[in-house]
Amino acid sequence: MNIRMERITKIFPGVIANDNIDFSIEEGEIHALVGENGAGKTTLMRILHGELKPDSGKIYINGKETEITDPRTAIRLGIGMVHQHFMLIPSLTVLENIILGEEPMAKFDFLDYRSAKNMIRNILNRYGFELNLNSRIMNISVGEQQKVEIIKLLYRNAEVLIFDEPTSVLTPQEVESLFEIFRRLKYEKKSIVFITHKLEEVMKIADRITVLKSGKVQGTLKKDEADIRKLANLMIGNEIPKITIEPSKVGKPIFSISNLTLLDKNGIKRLDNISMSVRSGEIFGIAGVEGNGQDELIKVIMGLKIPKAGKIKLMGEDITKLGVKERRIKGIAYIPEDPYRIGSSVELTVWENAISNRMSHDELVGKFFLDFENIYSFSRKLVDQFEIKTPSIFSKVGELSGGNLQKLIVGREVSTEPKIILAAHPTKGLDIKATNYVRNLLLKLKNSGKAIILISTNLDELLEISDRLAVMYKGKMVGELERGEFDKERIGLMMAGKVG
Amino acid sequence: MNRTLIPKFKILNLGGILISIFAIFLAFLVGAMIMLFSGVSPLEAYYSLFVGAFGGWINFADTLFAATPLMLTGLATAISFRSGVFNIGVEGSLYLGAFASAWVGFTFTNLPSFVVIPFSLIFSMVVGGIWGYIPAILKVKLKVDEIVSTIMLNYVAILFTSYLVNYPFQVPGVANSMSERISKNAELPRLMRGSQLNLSFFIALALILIFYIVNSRTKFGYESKVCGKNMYFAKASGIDVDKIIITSMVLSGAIGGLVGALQILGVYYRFYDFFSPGYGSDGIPIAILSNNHPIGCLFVAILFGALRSGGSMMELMTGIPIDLSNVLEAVIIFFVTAKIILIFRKSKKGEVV
Amino acid sequence: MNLPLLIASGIRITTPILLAAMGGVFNQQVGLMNIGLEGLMLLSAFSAAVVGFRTQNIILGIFSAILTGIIFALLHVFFVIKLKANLIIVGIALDLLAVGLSGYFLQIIFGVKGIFSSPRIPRLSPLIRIGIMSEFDILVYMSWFFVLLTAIILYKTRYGLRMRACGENLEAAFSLGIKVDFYRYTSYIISGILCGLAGSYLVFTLQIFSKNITAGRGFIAFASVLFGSANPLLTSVACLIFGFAESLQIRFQSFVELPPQIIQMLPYLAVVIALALKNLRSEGV
Repeated sequence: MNIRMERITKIFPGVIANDNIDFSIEEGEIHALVGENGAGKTTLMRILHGELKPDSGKIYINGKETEITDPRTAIRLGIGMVHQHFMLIPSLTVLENIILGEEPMAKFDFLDYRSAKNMIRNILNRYGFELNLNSRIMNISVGEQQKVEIIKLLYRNAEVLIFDEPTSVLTPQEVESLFEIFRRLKYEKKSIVFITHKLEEVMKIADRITVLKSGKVQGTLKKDEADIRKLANLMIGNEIPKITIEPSKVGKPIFSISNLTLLDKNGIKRLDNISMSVRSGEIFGIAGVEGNGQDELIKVIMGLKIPKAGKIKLMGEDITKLGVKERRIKGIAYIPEDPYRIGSSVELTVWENAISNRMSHDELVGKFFLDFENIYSFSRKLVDQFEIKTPSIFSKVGELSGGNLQKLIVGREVSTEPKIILAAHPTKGLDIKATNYVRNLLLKLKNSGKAIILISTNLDELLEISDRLAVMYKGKMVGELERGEFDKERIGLMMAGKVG
Repeated sequence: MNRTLIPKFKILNLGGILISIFAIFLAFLVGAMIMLFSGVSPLEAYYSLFVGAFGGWINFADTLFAATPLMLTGLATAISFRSGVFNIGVEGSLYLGAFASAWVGFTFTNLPSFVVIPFSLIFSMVVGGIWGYIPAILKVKLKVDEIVSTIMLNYVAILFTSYLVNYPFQVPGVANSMSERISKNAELPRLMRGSQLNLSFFIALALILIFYIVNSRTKFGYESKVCGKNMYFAKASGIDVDKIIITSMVLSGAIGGLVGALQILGVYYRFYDFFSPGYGSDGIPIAILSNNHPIGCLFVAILFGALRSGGSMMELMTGIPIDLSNVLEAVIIFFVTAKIILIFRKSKKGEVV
Repeated sequence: MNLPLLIASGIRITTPILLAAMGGVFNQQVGLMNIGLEGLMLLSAFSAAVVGFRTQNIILGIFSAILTGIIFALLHVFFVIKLKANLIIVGIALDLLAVGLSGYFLQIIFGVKGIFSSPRIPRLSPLIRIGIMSEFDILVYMSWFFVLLTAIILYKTRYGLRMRACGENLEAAFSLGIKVDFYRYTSYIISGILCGLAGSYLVFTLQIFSKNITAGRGFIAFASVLFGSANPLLTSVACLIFGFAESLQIRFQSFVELPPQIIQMLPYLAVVIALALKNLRSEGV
């Protein structure tokens, strides 16, 4: 099956997401769609998948003009998509998730589980998957969940499989395993579109590469015509910003965790006897596939989750029993992984968000009554200092762009002169300019003596700015490397639990 | 652009107010349809309703009199709702506060007015506050859903006060379930001849003003607002969410208790079991309609007071049951919380939730 | 204390709570918890009383109650889904509307303000007149049948599977082509029907109607659903516990020298204590 998208345009309020894009997919090819965050890749594929309607342009399938009105139509035509955030039902089993929506039926609306099992087993055998059909989604790994998403599509006879940033949640070894699956699918004459911003992967697996920038196609290259520098240039243009890394000025340890264990409500260990320490002036990076405990670790340090055992010390003082408020007073700042749900309140104004962590700072906000003059001038200073684009400090935060919101959050947290900053995925979803701003800021903070714990699923980011790097796997810290010892392959093995 | 002007007055949410007025208009329309369906004349009903509410000083005083408890139960509920707590328990603290004030009133009969009245009111607020503390601590420590616990505890409070007045504090020789009468010193002074409007109206007004200032100008007001908008964000920012929840529910209980006391000292002069026609529950629609804003509570309470006071006049004059007012109130809530504009819009592609 | 009678009355009292709770289970499973069960029950009870009284026909009364339940349940869910109103607020408004409407029409139709009592209201008769089972009419049996039916539908049919998927991840279900609104609307139709049965049960066993005939049973049903985490079997156990608490309360009144109000408080206290204890076990999150 081959597909041609012609002059596709899609406009959202204030932005042209897709601008007259031509894009084609041939049978049995692996076609990479690259660009930085916000370039329009996901929008284009959502149109192909029937989730969005283009404002203009046509789609041809095998030469015939076709309208793809919704995802159901798309899959009937043979087009399926594995999204970045999996569309799975956690408490249902693998089998149930695969057949949901296309269930084999017995009489009276009863489900025919037996024929379902047979059909799925055939697919597993044909493509070489190994999965327990009776496991519940919430109990299997992220890599396995991704396989469930793929089997969902194969069960529905998809011919074209679109993958949106599939490797961001995988260890390096799992990425290899995924690419093996791609090759297998290609062998079976399926086509794959693979959205990514990771150029190394593209060079490894893609047959053709289309580069998008600001909604426009910058070029479509065949594998042998392309190399990483060419692709990077097309992706970003001539302004490839550089990150300046000064020589490290790491000091003494100021923060430590010993024997930290956290259980979830089912009694499963989310953090398993973790010990670590962080020095002033250092960025301590934590790598690991999402869901291995990094986010819980940050929450425990912040005081949002109570551990079953263990101690936390800051500047020699035991803070294990303190609440969030006291920990902040002692000098911990927090850049949360979800800026919209945890980092801010979108219905409140900029100034209201700017002082949310200052309630114990009477000299700023007042003792009982709010000191508005102080508060407003502080908020304005913050907006200026961190270059936050907003009409005024009285605008609602929901109107800010992702990058500006993150700058507001970082600014708010950093302005308390903390001793240690917990940064959870601080550059997630930001465009290149905002990403570099945040990274440079973290480096500046580190150089002024602050300690930073940085969690990210972007291994390259961690390798670039961390002084030390640890890997978390299933709640344990399985390895710690100093800057000179960074070895991507070894780290990948640790992320998969094979070493340490 | 530099703005050093500190906003002293809340900028009126014009759009929101227009929507509320439109919703009220729609509700009256629905009410009219119901009346036509049951063979009653809407014009006659609404005319007598309006006259009963606003026709003349006495009627207007009666409207304010009817609005007074609603102002406070609305305020009490709004305090909790604003902090993100769905506290339905004002009715329960109302009953306990009512009994507490009656007890002071008929026990300390020798105290002069300027002692016994404040004592009685404060005592009822303490009792109400303690009652509000129970579901609060259950929520904070054991994550018990406050909607269910407060509804259940309402029944407990109402039944308990009924027990009190039928057993330990029963007036001997009387069939009615009521307590002793409070002393004359404990009565709240009336404001106008011919109407039951009494001092409680100004007490209510004062509290509304106090909480307006608390909400817009104090740390507690700010922290509660943040909790109400996004509790996890509040917690992560270091706001003591548990303390806010408990304080809000205790305050709601205290004000609920005060309402009960004001009704006893100002109207009934003794405690009757099951005396409340649902003042506490009425606080819920008032809080919702006023978007948890104290000044909004004032106006919505006057609206509801008008519906009630006018409604009883309407029933007197035309025989139309006062329940119609309750129907109108419920329909108003339906329309205010709905985004009516959406009825004219086809759902956008990809929009599910 | 007559044990068989005690058990029988416990089961009888549980019946309306159980019916409403099964409706609540469907609502919760699809992700739209229903705090308006009380209002639905009250409005259907009223409609059952009016039609039953006028026609002397219990079947018509039950049908009318079911129809009323469906209409108001659909009203509730329409406001929430199409007009994007707040789920909890609309539920509370429905409860208030029920009191107002039933009070209004009670006055208009029957000229009565408080309780309307009449032997002309039909009465449910026992289904099987053998021993203790002569305490149970058909709705009692039906309520337990519905528990079984609910479990089968939720866990063995496509409808149930899709409904549970909607409740857990609406976006994912939608992306699979599932018509999520169908499941959300039909879950409310189901609770409308079941609350209709619950309301008719109250009217046709007590032979009265009053604005207070439901006495918080709808809220207890809601609490049972929470307590049972929307699992039909666990929820029915919760309903039984609350039903028996109330039955004990009534029996106690003639048996123990405690004031009636104290005993009447027991079921409500039981709910609060039960919820507190349930969470006490799973503390430390």
